[in-house]
Amino acid sequence: MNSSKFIALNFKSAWLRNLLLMSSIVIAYVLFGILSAFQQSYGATSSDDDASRMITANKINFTQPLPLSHFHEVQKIPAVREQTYAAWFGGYYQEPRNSLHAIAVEPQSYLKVYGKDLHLSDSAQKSFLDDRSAILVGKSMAEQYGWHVGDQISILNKRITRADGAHNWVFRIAGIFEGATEQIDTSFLYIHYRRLNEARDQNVDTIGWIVTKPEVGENPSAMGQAIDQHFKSFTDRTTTESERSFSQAFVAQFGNLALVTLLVLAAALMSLIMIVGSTTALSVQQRAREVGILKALGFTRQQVLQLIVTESFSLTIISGCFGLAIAAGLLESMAESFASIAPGIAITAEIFVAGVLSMIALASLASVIPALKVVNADTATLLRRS
Amino acid sequence: MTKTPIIEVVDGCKMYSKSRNDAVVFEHLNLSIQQGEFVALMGPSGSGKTTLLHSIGGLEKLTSGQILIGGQQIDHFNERQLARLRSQTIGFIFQFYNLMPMLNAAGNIELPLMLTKLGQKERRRRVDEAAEMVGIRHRLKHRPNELSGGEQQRVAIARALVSDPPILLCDEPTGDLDRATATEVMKILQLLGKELGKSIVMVTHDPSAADYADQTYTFNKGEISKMDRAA
Ligand SMILES: Nc1ncnc2c1ncn2[C@@H]1O[C@H](COP(=O)(O)OP(=O)(O)OP(=O)(O)O)[C@@H](O)[C@H]1O
Ligand SMILES: [Mg+2]
Repeated sequence: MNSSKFIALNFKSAWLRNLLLMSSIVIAYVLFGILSAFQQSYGATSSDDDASRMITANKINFTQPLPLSHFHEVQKIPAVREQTYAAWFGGYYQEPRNSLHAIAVEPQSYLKVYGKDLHLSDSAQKSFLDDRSAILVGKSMAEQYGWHVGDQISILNKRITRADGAHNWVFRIAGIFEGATEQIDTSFLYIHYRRLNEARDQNVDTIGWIVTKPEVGENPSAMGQAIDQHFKSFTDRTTTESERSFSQAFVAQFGNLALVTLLVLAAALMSLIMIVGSTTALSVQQRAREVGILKALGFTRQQVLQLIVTESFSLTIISGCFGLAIAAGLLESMAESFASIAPGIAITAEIFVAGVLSMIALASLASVIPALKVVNADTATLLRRS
Repeated sequence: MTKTPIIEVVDGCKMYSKSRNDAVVFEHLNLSIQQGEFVALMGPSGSGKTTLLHSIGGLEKLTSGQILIGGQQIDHFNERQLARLRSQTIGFIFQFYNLMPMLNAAGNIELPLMLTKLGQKERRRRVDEAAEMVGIRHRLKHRPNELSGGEQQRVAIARALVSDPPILLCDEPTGDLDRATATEVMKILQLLGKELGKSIVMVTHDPSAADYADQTYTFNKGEISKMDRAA
């Protein structure tokens, strides 16, 4: 007999309860892992750049175009240091269900504002800039369709009619961007704005939105207010908000259902944790008599505490890590389909550490506190209780 | 020529509430027990027998007075010293056996040896030896809920014996057993006193159990008195 054997036998004696308890902890940490991964992806700040970028769109709503001249106007505003613009292109590859997040950009300025996030080699950048029919494709999109650098691809776009009446656009893939961090969405592709603008027969010289960065020391939202103020007397008035709230509003369009699901999962997680906590606490309390016996046999408080706490800790941490491992597996299989709403969902080192810390906190609250109470109780009283 | 008693209570007083007089369990209690002596304590319910036993075993503290074990005063022992006293010097035997339900008989007997540095082989030998002494060797693989009351009490006695403490404190060890089984358990205790020189303090309500002791004391309203054997 040694402590680990003692603990193992004790575990076995209530195997059904312990197994159920462990299953609850496993499920709780599967939920914890998935929720944290989404949370991390959703609230990710890829860089400081990201936080200072502001998006200006039509005040009516962001699907309404702005005149290209607005971009030139923005350059007149003193608080603005850098600016670029983009327009939604869309379209699909081969079949309508393969709809693409394709954005038309002004290459030079766009790469200046976003280049760091995209994480692209100089040669790929150059290859993109030099050729009007070149495009940049994000890694996850390229993987999805099996595209490689140098491939010619044909995109159909029924929404935009070319001046020659066709809907077919052929592009050459100049580069594939990986994203500087896990959280950067790579399910996008970028085309040249000029290619779009020259070919289409309507909405010529309109853009979707303008991206700006403030002068050093300038507050981004103050700059945003200055921009909106500037356009107050224009036919097309503007709304400027941070890129993060812009993309969150964008996500909200189709992410509401996902959000509700996440909330339900969060509620389930909370109640599971409470169940685990109270079950553990109760099972520790039920061992008062054993504690009395051990103390009568000459075990010190510390030795008894160690036996009880080691058991709860191993139980919690083994099941918790198992739960996180399952979550990691699930996330990997989900990552593809969630790439555009929540890019880079995975159990990161931070989530793992937070998970283990919360397991320690859970085990401490649920076992150390009641165990201390039992162990410090008067032994004679524990033994009298029959 | 008097030897140092192995257990000595000097002017012992115990009350559970300092303010109320009726909370006095006993006072001015003096008792001394020699090495190898088998003493029975009798008395009405609530007279403080268990309290005295717990105090001798360092599980409860006296309100005033002294307890000496092997000449050492234990009233000021700290938690660690008391734990060592219980693991090395004292074996407890209870009315309701107090075995660990998840351990088999061998595991229960071995429990006190977890506190020693003995190797696996030596532990086995000691468990077998203690089990042999109380006649329970054939049931070592069984868990408490598979054993009869008498068998469980034998396991409990073996557990109290396994670390070879000089003192055994028994609180109504036959209280839950039928006459025949009680007699067997009493014979075992008597043997432990005679053959191994254990000092035994046994609380009992059963006069025929007390007959096995060398000496019987009665508790009454906080007074302790020696019973006349010849009577
Ligand atoms: N923790 C406690 N707090 C207050 N009073 C207590 C406590 N423990 C015991 N008592 C009281 O002390 C007195 C002596 O109790 P004790 O258990 O020692 O009696 P006993 O002689 O062993 O009785 P029994 O024969 O029923 O076992 C009783 O009146 C009991 O109610
Ligand atoms: Mg009693």
